[in-house]
Amino acid sequence: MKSIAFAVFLVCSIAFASAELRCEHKELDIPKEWLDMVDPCINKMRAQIEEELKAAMQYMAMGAHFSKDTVNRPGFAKLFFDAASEEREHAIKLISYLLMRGELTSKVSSLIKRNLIPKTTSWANGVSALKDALRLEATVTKKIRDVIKVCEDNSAHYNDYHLVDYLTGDFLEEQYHGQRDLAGKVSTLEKLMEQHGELGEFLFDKKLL
Amino acid sequence: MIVSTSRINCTAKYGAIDGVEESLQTYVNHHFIRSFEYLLMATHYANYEKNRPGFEKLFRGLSDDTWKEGIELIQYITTRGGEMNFNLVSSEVTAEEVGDPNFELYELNSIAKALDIEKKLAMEAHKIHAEATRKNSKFHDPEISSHLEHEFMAKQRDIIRKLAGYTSDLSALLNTPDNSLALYLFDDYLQKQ
Repeated sequence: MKSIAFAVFLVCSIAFASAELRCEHKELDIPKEWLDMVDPCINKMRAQIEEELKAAMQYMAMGAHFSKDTVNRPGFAKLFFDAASEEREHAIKLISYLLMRGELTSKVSSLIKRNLIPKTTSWANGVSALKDALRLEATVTKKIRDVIKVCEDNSAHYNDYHLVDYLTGDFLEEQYHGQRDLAGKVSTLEKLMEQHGELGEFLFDKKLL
Repeated sequence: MIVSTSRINCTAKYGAIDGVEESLQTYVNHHFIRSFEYLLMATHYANYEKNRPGFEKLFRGLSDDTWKEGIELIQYITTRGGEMNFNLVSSEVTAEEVGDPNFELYELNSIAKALDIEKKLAMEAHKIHAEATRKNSKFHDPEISSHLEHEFMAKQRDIIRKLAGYTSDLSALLNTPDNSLALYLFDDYLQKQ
């Protein structure tokens, strides 16, 4: 495996010598005037990408927990695995936005920390996991608001109208709808379990499938 | 008659899942690590300076695949009565972190990197398979080896072949008088795959 990397290195170094096979291309001269995002805002956005992926891995742990044979709640597992992939999609949407604005031309390698280990990996029951999910969404919402705040008003005194509009109209929109949905689920499940306990959770789980 | 459930083994565990559970958990985490790395590689190709949508599509696809396979592997582990542990990463993969790995690579290097990653994943599957095929009741588990064969081996074979083919094409194409044009055309080709 290392030999492949070495072979490529070799091919490239021969290339530099012979000037025939080149891996690099010439420096580009593209006007920079259109690049108008400011650092405080860019850095907030970069950090938010990792936040979304952290949330994704936390949902992944929930999906794994409810998949266990001793827990056996396939409906909950599906809900959480889907949520994990959705959070990943959010991260990708933020990346796409920065790319659209001409960012991420450098320091891409340090954008995501390598191993985002989830903090909690087991839950007493479905309700407690749903409550954790709702809390998680609330912190994500708060962090998106922080990004908006910084991108609207910052030390560079630059209001990034378009990004602020995108985060408000697209991301917050989804956050608030998602939170309402989770809160409703917590409510229904808790009421179901008041009299019927385990049976309530069993029935609710199948509804999620 | 009162049946005490604590005395009966009511879990889904049978065979040798315990023997390979940690290897499978590690394998899941490696999938997620690779998925993020591929995402970074895709991101690099999607910036306006690189502007290679074909390469972006290739790496994004690999990122999506490793992500999906990671989830499916968790589901598999739990199907066999196991559980997931997100902390396990092999020392080889941890060692890669030394010296800040770079995912902003030139075209040929990036495909070589992907080929390298895919071969590592394939060899890891071989290793787990070998554990599960040992003729020792603690390890022998034909269901696990068969699952790995069906869900991973053929797919990995095809990806490795495809990427190796790309490196051959690219090395040949880059050795032509106008390699900028060659890269443009190759990127266009990747976009249509």
